[in-house]
Amino acid sequence: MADKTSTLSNEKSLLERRLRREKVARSAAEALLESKSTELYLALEKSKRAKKQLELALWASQESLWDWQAQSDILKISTFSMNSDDVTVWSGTPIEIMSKVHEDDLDNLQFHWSQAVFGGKERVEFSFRLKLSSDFQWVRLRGRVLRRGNAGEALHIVGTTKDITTEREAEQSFQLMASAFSSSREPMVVLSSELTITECNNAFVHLVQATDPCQCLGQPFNTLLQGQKVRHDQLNYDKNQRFETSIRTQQDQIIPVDVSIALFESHLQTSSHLIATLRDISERKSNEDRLRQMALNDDLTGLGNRNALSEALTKFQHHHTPFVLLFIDLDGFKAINDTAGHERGDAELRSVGSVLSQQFSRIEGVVVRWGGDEFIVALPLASMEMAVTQANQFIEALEKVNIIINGIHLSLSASIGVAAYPEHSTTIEGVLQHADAAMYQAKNSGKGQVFIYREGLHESIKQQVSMLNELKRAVEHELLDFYIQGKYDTRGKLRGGEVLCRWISGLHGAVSPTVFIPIAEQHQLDKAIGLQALEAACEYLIMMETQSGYAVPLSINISVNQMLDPEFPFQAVSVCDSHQIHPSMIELELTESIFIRDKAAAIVALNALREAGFRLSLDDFGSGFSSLSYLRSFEFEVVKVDKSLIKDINANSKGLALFKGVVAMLTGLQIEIVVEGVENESYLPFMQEADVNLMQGFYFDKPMPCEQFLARNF
Amino acid sequence: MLGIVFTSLVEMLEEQVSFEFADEVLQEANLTSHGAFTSVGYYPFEEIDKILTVLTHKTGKPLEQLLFEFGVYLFGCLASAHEQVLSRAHTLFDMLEHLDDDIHVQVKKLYPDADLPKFTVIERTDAYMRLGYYSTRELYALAEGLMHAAAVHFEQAINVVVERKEKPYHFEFHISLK
Repeated sequence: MADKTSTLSNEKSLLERRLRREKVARSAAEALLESKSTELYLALEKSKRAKKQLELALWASQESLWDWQAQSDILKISTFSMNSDDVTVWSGTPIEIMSKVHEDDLDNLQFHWSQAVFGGKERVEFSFRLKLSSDFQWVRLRGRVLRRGNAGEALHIVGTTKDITTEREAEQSFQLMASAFSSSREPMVVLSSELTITECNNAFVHLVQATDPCQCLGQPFNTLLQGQKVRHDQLNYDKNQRFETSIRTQQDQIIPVDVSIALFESHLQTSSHLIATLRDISERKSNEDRLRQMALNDDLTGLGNRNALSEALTKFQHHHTPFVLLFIDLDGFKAINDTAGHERGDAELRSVGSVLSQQFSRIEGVVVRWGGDEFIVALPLASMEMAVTQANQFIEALEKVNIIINGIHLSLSASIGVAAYPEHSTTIEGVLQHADAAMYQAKNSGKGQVFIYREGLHESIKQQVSMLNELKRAVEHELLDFYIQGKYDTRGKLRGGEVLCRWISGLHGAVSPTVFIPIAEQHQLDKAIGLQALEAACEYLIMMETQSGYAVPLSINISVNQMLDPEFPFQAVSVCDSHQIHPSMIELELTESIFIRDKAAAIVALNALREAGFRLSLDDFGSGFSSLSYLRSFEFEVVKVDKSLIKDINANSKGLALFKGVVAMLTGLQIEIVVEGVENESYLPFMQEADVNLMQGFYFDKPMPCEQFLARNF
Repeated sequence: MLGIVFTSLVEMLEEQVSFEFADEVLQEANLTSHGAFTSVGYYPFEEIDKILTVLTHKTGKPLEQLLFEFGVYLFGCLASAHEQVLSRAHTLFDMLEHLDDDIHVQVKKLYPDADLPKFTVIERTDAYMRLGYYSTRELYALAEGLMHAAAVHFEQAINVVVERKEKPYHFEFHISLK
């Protein structure tokens, strides 16, 4: 019994212990369940928030989510919004989408899609145009294969999609700009803000004689430039710069270029870059050099001309450099010209030029041909004694030159006048006049002499040598200059020019045509001047033709004497012939006084010239008698309306009415009208309104040496 | 260590010996938990260590044999509790191959910090598998028992040789199909 009781009590306590263990275990399991479910709930909430955040991020970046499963073959596109539940879902088969795709993009789309689905490509990315409402929009699709089947075929692909119409348009406009940049014929480079080349086009590669753009990229732009460089610091203020400089090519050639550089700042101004456009100006530079050469050189001898002398003397004066001037006039040259003709004379002048160069170049003398058979040598920093010795040595050398013409021995010598700057005069014109006066004195003292200027000589020579004698010498030695003034149409285009005579005398300085032309006419020098003007016109026409392949007609003024000279038409034609210039390129300007002198003879002469092919123009119309009967007597091609007729027409209604009347009348007669004295812009509207053909005047240009005229217009 | 190991062990003792024996062992082991285990709980390794020490003492069997027998029993418990895991595999080797990324995931769900052994397939042919085993508890005999029971489940018969590697806690099972 006791055993049984004891067994029962043992069993009871065993059961109690087991029960206790079960209870403790159950509550431990419940606590665990509680804590795990709380954890799970929190994790779920967190993941919901993360999902929403992801959706917001997609919404903010304007991306939509897409998802395709092979099983259903349905593509689902979800577009999110800021509100949590507002998700727009579009779903359809890829076939449905393809029906809305632009036909040009279909092949590309199918290619990329099958690459992903069957081609084992993990990433998908392509763009296409999709017709959403009425317009096509650019859509970009990106994604990744998530799951593949046993045969490697994609089962599930997900990704994002975005409307990239704006980006595409910007991209296209950028591509357009880029292609404009690369195909431009102007060499262009893009520079970083540190002036390093980051891009360059083919034209630039070609300019710098590189074989590959890589040879240029990364180079500091300034190191390529010789001479002026880009002023980096200044660019931040100016935003652009333009200058002329030279660029060194890969072949170490130096090419002159014009550089335009502009600063561009990006939208956010976080970075900036520069675009430089270059222009090869070698041709212009060499033209300029050639014209400069032409402007400073004497064609015949190759020595300097008056411009070169004036440039050199101005420089000496500017640097306070004293100099001695030798005014050289050849003795015995006229005899050569008269016996053997101009060509032989020219050849002798050239040889005189080389004797001069030999003598004076070694002591750095400036040797120029003043005109005709006159030369000037300027010797900087030379003493009077040295200059005189040199002058005498030159005469000696010149006299040794053997000249045989038709079996007769001829010889040349020279009379040389010497004056010093600033000793004899502090002005260039003064020292020239003094040297010229000294030369006169040398000539008077017998040939082959050197004479040094002394005070008062200039005045006394001027008294001895009248302007008439000086003019005679100028005409005889062809010392007159012939300038050109342009004639322009109402659109400002150059259509012709007038050759005008200018005289700069050694002794008298620059003499006005209103002074020397009457003297010339009085003493029958006008015919020679007229022929020289015609020769000059012919030469100028040749220069235009050579320089630019075309020429504009030139007019010259012919005096009444010359017009009435029965020889003149033959002479004029002969000059044109010898230059191979057609007379139609020459217009002869004459004044109405010819009719006053001898109307019948005038008409005969004019007809002869017209027959020869010259154009004839009536000058100064409106200033003298302006008898309309002259216009009936002879049919002029051109009438030049005098400047007195247009003076103040902008303010004077009577004057304007008269001008308009004259123009209307001439137009009615089908005569070409050239208006002279157009001095400023205010005249232009009246000229355009009156429909005149050509204009001449200071508004367009002043008479200028031919070289300058060519450089300006051709 | 996961609770199901403890509850299975107690269950085995109760079933194969008696309630009294199980109760005695739990009492003698002087456990912190007093033997109140739940299959979803997680208990220190020392607890099972204590139980096994008492068992070897009481039964006179070596520890390895005890662990092997327990492994065979434990497989049955795990198989009925996690039927879906087994249904995915058709052979022993398949199951062993996915041990880490399949079965252990279930454990990690409840106990993200659980200190689990690591199984790595080093070599596999149709009839042979070399399986790397890493466990700080060195319970390779338990694993061996589990493998044998699993082989029976898949109606396969195996020979297992255990090799202790030089590196501490590293073992290799050479499993050949008979």
